[in-house]
Amino acid sequence: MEKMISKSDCILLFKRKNHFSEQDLSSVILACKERNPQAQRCLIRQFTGYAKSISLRYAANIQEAEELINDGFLKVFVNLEKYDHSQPFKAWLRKIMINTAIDYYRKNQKWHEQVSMEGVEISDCSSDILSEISAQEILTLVQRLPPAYRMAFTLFVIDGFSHKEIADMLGIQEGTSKSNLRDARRKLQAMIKIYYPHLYQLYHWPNRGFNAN
Amino acid sequence: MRTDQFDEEFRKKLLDLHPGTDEDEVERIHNFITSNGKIIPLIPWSKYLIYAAACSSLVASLLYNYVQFNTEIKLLYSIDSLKVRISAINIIPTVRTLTRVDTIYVNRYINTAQPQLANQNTLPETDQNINSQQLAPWKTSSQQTELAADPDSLASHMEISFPKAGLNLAIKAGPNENKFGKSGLMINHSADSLLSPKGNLSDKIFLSENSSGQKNSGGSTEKIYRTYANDLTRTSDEPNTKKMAIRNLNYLKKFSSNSGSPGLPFVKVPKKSATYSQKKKTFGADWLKPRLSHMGLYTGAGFDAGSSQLGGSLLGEVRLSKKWSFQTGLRWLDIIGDQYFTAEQYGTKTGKNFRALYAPYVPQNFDVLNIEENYQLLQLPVSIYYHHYLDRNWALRFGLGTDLSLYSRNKITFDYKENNTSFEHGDYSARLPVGLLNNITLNAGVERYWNKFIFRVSPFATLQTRNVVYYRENWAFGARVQVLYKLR
Repeated sequence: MEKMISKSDCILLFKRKNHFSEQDLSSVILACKERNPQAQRCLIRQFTGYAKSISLRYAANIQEAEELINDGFLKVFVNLEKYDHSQPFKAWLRKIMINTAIDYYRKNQKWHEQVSMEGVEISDCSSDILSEISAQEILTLVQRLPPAYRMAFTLFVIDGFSHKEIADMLGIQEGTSKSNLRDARRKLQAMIKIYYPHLYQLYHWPNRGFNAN
Repeated sequence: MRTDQFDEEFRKKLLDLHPGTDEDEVERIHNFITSNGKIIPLIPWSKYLIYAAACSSLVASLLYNYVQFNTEIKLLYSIDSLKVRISAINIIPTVRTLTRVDTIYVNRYINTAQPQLANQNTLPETDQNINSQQLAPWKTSSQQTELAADPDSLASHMEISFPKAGLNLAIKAGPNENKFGKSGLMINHSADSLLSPKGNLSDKIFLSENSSGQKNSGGSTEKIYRTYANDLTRTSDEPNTKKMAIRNLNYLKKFSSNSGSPGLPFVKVPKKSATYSQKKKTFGADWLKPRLSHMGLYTGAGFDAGSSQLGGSLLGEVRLSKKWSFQTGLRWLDIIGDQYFTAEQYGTKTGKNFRALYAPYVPQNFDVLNIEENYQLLQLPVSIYYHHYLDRNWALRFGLGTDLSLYSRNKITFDYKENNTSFEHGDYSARLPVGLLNNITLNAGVERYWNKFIFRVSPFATLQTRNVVYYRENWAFGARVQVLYKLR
């Protein structure tokens, strides 16, 4: 039936405009495929928050995150024809945003300062102290990580990629990915100690099994 | 704390983040994707088809009207020519009475024996036997009788009607029409309608035959003509006069047999009329005809300067009437945008990361300075103007129109340097999405006519009807200078 309708639409001289409903995502996506500006704005409005939450984890600051969002949405609209409607749009968007972040990282890799972990004190961390820190503060800590550590940490911990996948995506060795992750954790622990000394002293942290991968 | 617990804490915290969004951010992202990606709204082919059809119809209509106008002039000449011919036919009786028609009455009363007439066939002999009493009711004199009898003298006497005058002949039967009619003068009836009621005997020749009361049949008329023609041939000394007389008689003969249509042979129709009538018959699209013939065409160039904008244009103008004109052309407009001293200032004022957006290749430790934004537009100005003439050479001009945007481009230039070393120059250029109809332009200015040139200066005000990136204000003001040359 759908095929019949589409054929008749092709015959029509004036195609009926695809009216979309903001609640109906598929109609919005269809309208976006027809390059309807209102639908494009609607899609951006609906998913900017989600895209920003992903981008912020991979970016060093809000400006970098905005750039990732811009590039990510650009990819979305350019490749919208390739989108498989059987898959959730959010998952597709997430994949694009992560790939955009990785591309950005690889493009700007040579400008990133190489951070040495020499001198970083390795200590244990308590779950109580982490629960006391807000999500925004945690995000700030992650954003303060060097890009290589941040990429490895976010890809492995937040988005659940394996070291092999991370190594493939970033073009590094699997071992490098593991070491980056370990160093990221150490760096985060050190930053908690530096930025939240009162919490650090409040709780007693057993030093066991922390550096395991 | 175990590593997986540590990771889980971070994971939970970060996934709980739901940053908000506002409409400005949405608009910023949308502007970015429309300016960087080729995802501007599609115009369906059907619209192109409609636009093309409309344009074709317009051009075809104009062309058709132009051709029709030229054809119509020819047709009007033809119609007027026909009208003149018809009117000439209608006024023929009057003209003929005054200038062309002569009636010839020739009475031949033959009292002698008919065989003698047949043998001799000479008019003088028959003239001797003319009964003057029978001529009396017609008030003819003997001289007139002689004239009637002698063709040469008749011709010389009746200058109007005979060969010297070169006119036609007609025949009337006279009061005793019945008598002559019975004697076979059918031609008299046919000629009757052609005669003037004022015709008198002095310029009439009765041509009849009365052979002692013997009634002639219809066929005797021809015989008379023939006889008379023979007589003329024999008795005339001047060959030209004779020939003309014979021709007249032949014509008479032909005319007598064609009694139904007396008018046309007398009509001389002018071949071509000099002018066509003032009341022209029209063929539709009347409004266009006078305009097409009186439209003046101008072409020229213009220079625009206004609030942060400079432009040049090639113009074409059509004078729809003396006071109204339509102008269009192509304009290249350069709009000077904002300027920033540093990338940081740019970020502060616009909220955008300049380095990330426009200078990703510049290292972070380099200073980005002297940022300038420019916009370049290709426009199609369309305006209609009213001209108020102050005197022969000066006029005021008021216009209303719009500038259709065809193409726009954003150009950003900047300098970057490292540690006070030499500056490097960088630039960024991207095509911007354009809306066709963006503004309304009001013009008021003065113009000077000099030979085939027009010089104009006109301040303008432009009102933006929709938001565009290159105009931050709703109103833009400036002035235009134009020089146009009259093509026709």
